[in-house]
Amino acid sequence: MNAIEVQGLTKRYKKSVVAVEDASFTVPQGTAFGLLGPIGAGKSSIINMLLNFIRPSAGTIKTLDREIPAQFHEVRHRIGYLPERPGFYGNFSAERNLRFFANLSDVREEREEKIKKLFKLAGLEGKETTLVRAYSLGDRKRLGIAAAMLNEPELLILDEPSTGLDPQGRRDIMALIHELNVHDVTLFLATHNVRDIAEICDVVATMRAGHVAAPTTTKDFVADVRGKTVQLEADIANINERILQAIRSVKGVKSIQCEGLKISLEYRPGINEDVNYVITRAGGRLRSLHESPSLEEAYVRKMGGRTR
Amino acid sequence: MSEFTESAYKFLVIAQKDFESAVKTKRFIIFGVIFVLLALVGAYYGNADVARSIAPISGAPNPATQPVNYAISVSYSYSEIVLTILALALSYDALSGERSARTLVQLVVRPITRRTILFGKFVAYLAAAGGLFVITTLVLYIGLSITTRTVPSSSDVGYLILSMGIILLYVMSFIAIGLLISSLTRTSLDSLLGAVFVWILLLILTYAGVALGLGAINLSPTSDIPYAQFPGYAKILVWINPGSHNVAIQSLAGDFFKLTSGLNYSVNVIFLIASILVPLIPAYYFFNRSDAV
Ligand SMILES: Nc1ncnc2c1ncn2[C@@H]1O[C@H](COP(=O)(O)OP(=O)(O)OP(=O)(O)O)[C@@H](O)[C@H]1O
Ligand SMILES: [Mg+2]
Repeated sequence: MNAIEVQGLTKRYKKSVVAVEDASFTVPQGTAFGLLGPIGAGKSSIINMLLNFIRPSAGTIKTLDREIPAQFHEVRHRIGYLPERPGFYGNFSAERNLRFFANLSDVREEREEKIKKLFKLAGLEGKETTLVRAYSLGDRKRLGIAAAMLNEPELLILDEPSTGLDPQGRRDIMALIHELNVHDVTLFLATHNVRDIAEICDVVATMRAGHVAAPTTTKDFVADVRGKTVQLEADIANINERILQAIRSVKGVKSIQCEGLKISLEYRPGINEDVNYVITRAGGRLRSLHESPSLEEAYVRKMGGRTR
Repeated sequence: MSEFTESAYKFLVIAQKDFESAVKTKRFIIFGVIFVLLALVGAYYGNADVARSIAPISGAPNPATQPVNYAISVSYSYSEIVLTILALALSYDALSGERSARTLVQLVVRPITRRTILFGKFVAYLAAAGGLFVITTLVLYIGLSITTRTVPSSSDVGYLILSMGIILLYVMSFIAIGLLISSLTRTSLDSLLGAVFVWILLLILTYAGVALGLGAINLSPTSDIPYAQFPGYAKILVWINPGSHNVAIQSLAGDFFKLTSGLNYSVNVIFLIASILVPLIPAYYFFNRSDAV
């Protein structure tokens, strides 16, 4: 079954601005679907139509087998939503906010236990009684995820979950989201960050200026973006022949340039971890290991340096 | 739970949240304090009038026979405008504020109707503004009875309760106006401008109605304006303002025969109720159709 089916979806604002044009795609249940596009591509407009916040100008939407907008009220209790910048009642504590939304989401039995669990899951323990207006954006996003999880949704719709976070906050949030998908929650994730896609999504559809391209698997997409060959730049404190030998043994290695230790190899998912593993096993003290160009750089290059 | 208890429960959840939010706002504290001060000052002057045994005014309680009700009527006349400003100040950005704080989307993704959101807010603001009014008035009434050593008659107490009901209707009409403004605007600033505009417009319409009416019957302003003799268009201009149907003071006197704005008592009460429904119905319509983002 499909969690989302979209056909010919179009959104015009004030006649002239076409934010989404003739978009069609399906999201099978259980997948992590990524909508990747630059700022202003129309990602939020699609999400806002999926959630009945705005009305489509044309086209049809089916979410969990119900027509949107007509039957939205029949499925909304099965959907969770993380806004790009989650809004809460700033004068209330985080706990009071969650309790309020829990009451609206029909969480009655074991409400307090559930809220406690979600604070833990979201990494907000100890901040339960803090007023939300004192929360950082990162903490707001965590609280947003907790709020989106209150009703144990089958489908979680996330608008730019990683935007505006520091590296650590980003990693935590993405791990949290990935964990949910592992436990069978269908994800619909809009982002302009290609790393979000690579880390979490099974399927990706790119979006540009209102147009949604046909979805592909993330594997194919990443391979297409970075090409067949990737270069890894390693900084090893105690480089020696034994370590080099170990690196040469990794499957797909094409050449090793000892100056600055640049390793060219055939790309496959997890290649980074593999190289890291053999170096460490050979007694190498790895100071850093990164892909060059990074996935983001490769993506920007592929898009011809355009951001719109 | 049945569908009815379900929506009644959600209605209470919203009302409780908005009541708590409302009483924590600066506007509630500022206008609330001004209201209480004016009510006190009014009661003080009213009581001073009683001591000087001034002559009774048509429609108002008689200072000689209804001293406490009289003092409360002066208190009303000092403070009721601020009470309506308070009602408007709480409600004018109730819906647009949820939109700009991006909490509206968090509400409407959940199983709750917009009708429940709207009426929850209505009741929350009534509880905040009306609650402050009821408590202040009861405290003043008891305080005045004790300090002047008068025991109000049971009919005077009945008139007090009736007059409070009238003031509450008056407050509700301004909450409804605020909710309408809030359903038509997208940002809190637009809502504020809308509220100020409506406030001034109501005053201008009333003054225009009185001026046009007096002009039409060639009379200069007196304390008793003969609204009944006004031409229809002048009456309508006056009647648009819910304040022109405020019969709280004559209720305090138990005088149900005096005409107010050229209308008899029960018609004024009907107009007051209408001035709640007339803004509230379109507020619901516009809110229901509006985007959540
Ligand atoms: N309410 C609106 N009225 C007019 N134009 C709008 C409105 N909302 C969005 N737009 C326009 O529609 C286009 C798509 O906007 P949308 O927010 O859907 O993009 P996005 O991909 O989510 O971008 P971002 O990365 O900034 O969130 C943009 O050009 C935007 O300016
Ligand atoms: Mg967006």
